[in-house]
Amino acid sequence: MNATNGKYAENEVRLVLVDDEPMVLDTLRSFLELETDYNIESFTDPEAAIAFGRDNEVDLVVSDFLMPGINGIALLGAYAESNPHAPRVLLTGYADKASAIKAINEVGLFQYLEKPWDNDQLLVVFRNALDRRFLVKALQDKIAEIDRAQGKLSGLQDDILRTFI
Amino acid sequence: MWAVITTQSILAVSLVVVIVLLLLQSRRLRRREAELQVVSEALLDREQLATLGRMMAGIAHELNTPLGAVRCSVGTRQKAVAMIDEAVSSLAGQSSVPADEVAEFLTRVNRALRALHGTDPVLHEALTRSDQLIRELRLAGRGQEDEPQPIDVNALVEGTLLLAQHELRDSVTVNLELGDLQPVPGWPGPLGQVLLNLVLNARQAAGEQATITIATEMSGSEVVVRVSDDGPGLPAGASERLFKPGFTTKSSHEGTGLGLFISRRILQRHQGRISAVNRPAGGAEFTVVLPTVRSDAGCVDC
Repeated sequence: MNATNGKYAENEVRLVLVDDEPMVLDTLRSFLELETDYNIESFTDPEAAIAFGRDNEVDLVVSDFLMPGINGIALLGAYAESNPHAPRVLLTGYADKASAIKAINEVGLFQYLEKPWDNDQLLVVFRNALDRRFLVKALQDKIAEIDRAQGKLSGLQDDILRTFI
Repeated sequence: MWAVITTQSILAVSLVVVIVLLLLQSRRLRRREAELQVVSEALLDREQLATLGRMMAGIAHELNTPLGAVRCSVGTRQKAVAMIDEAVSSLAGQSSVPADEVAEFLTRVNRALRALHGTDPVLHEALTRSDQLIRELRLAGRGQEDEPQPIDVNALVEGTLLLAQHELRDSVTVNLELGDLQPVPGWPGPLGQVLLNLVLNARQAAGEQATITIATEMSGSEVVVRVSDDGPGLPAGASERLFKPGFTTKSSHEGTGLGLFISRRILQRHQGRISAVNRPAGGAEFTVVLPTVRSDAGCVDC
């Protein structure tokens, strides 16, 4: 509902949802479209989701665990490479803590959510993840700015040195 | 004379003793047989309970998705309705409403309506799917006490896959080649158990990346169901022992070695039969043959 929350505009957020169950994707989409202005890309095919991540900048990726072909851990692993700054959330009905721990260790999971999820809790997790994502992004922008300034400064320094020596 | 009488008496007494001994032994044997029967029934019950347990776990897992969808969608709808209420009460009592407030009102109501429309088909599908799962479970729970009823074997194959989905969906590929079939007289619960058993055996034998093919066709007046996999196939010489109690290639926590034995018994009750071969291309193939007409003679050897 709120277009901005002070740190980022929701309509600039690109969220990727992956689940082989269209029912889960439709449910999540209806809820998120009511509560937020996120741009939602949903995929039932994990391969297509990975391909999307390779070609696009993504801010948050949420994946099911058990899917045909590729499981959620492998998918989040692919996103860790293509979009390292996008927090990764595993949403699964496979109540297997061992798999979740493996995922946390292997792909640096932001959070593990179990199905059936609680709408409000899910939104809190997504918002926390996005807060972190945009904080890191702001930090990176600042670092890049400082780098540029430093580059300019050292260029200036070279010019000065060349002028006098 | 006395000698003859004595010899006859001895013979008669010996005969009586032998008969008594034989009777005693036969009673002992009957008792042992009854005991064995009890133990074997208990083992069969245990195997059947284990199969039912697996089905239950599958159903619980499969119900989780539609129930989760219902729960989330109902929450979304409640919020949408609250949003409409809020929008309406924000305008209530105002005689004239500025254009920008009307625009804001319409945006909020539209957003809420979109959520209501979006969750509608989800709820419908979730309920249909739950209903279907419960129906499969009720069918699976039916015993052999009733009269045989006409079974659509193709529908039973599809229902079985629904129950096995929990264990198959990971990475197993299932090919269905279903032909036109005549109905088979029988008991859908136990027959479904046979199919579930074959599918789960194939999955266990061929591993996570298994490809399982289920093909059905008519052969004369019989329905033929073939379940094949691309696993390592049956061990050499196994086809003799395969359907005997205790045969298993699994570790003790994975199987009791009674699945195929029970399957054969269930099929005998259907006047059908089961056999297994290794496919030339690799992997095992189990063939179930079921008559579409029951013979009056009843089942042979069951």
